[in-house]
Amino acid sequence: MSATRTTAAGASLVRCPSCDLLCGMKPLPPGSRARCPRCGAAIRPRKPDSLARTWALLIAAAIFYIPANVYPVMMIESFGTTSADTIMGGVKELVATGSWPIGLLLFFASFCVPMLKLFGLACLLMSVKRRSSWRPRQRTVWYRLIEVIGRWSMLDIFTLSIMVALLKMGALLTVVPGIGAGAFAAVVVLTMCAAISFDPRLIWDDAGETVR
Amino acid sequence: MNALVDGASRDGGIPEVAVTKQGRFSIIWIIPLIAAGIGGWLAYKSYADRGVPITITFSDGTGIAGGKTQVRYKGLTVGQVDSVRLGSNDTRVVVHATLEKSVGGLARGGSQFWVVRPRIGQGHVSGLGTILSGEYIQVRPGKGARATSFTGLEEPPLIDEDSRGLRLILKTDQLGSLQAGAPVYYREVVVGSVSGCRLTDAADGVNVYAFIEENYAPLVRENTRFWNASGVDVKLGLLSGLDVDIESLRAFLAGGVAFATPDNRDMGTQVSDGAVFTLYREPNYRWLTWKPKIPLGAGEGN
Repeated sequence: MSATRTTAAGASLVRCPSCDLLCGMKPLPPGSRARCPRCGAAIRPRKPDSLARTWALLIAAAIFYIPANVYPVMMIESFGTTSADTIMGGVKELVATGSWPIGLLLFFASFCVPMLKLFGLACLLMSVKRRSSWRPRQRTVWYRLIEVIGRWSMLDIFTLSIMVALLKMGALLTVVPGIGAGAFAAVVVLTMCAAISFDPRLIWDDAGETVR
Repeated sequence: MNALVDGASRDGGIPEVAVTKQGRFSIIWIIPLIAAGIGGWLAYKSYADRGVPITITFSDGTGIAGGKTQVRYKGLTVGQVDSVRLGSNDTRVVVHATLEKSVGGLARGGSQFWVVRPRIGQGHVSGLGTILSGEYIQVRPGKGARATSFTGLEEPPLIDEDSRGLRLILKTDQLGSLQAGAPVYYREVVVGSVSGCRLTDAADGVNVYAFIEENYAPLVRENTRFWNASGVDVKLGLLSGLDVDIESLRAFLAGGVAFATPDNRDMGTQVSDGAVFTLYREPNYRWLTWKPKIPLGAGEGN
């Protein structure tokens, strides 16, 4: 290959996502969209509205992050007595009862990871918005990390759903999911969607055509 | 390669994209709007439903746990304990609890709080449910202005003001074997119970607090006579032989109070809460012959 790297966009080329036809891109008049000349599928050089969509999903996730931590995630009803636990309440209880490794894990998986995802995506979005050319490779690694660890936060919800399904012993012991669980699931799903709707190619668009 | 990069002179191999019209509306912003709506609604709801914080001090905090112990009124959960800690001088347990908003009026001057624990005495068992469910805090609302700080009772209050009925004070010199929970009999039918017994303020006698169930309240009139039906009454007579008189086994164990009301023209008017009677050591034989006709209260059949 040649020493100077050529991107598809730099070569004014796009690929049809449906039939894989390579097409030449041309400037679009406002209010119009590109279609594949062969199969008619909509063609977009970049994910459409990537920044706006990611911002929208990210803001929604950030809103849900508050009730996810303020409201109880699960309620344990035993002999008519209900005890409700928030995420941080569970962490505190685990640490206080000596199982601090599990408490630390819960703290990391349920509190830190969603926050880092929100924070990391927001930083990426802002860097793209400001057309930053700062360490595009580093930022791409961040993005991949955010995309990969995102699904692991769902672990809490799976555990909770199994407990809710299994522990149904009437008056003896019943586990009921709280408002916090729904909000937490919304945070995880929305941040995953936000990560997907973000287009990492945007990082490289302003990084200069030839890097390294 | 160069031919490809040059957009003006494309080879026939790479066609141009077709261009069509596009509607311009980003539906994605509905998601954060919905999130903000749900979040705002939750915030408003927790603001609107925020409970009434109260503080209760007890001398003993056994079984009270933050986040678990409930505050109950008439058997319903009306609040929850948030935290329990020692007071500043380490002599009292300070319980911080939150009452639900709708029942915030339970926290008033004169409101009484006590911990319901299993209590087993002679002829008297209560709080058995708490063996499994754990202790809870019972509240009885007072009549004063709203308040937030209370001193908890160490024992359940003597007179159960929650249940409807007639509360009487019976004065006697000696308690005998009477105890809280002892039955009150009318014609050997249990119509109430003894709530508690206390020395009078001057210690010159004993006040027995009796509770008559609502539908039996009309039986108690101004001229009603009360006597102590505790224990066994053994009479040994030359002609009558051995006469053993026990009102009931429960009365035998915990003591009891019986009363009789004179025939209709002598009975007097119905009494109200707090009426004071003398509690005789034993019945006059004439009292046992009284047969007044008294329609019972509307509560009969409950």
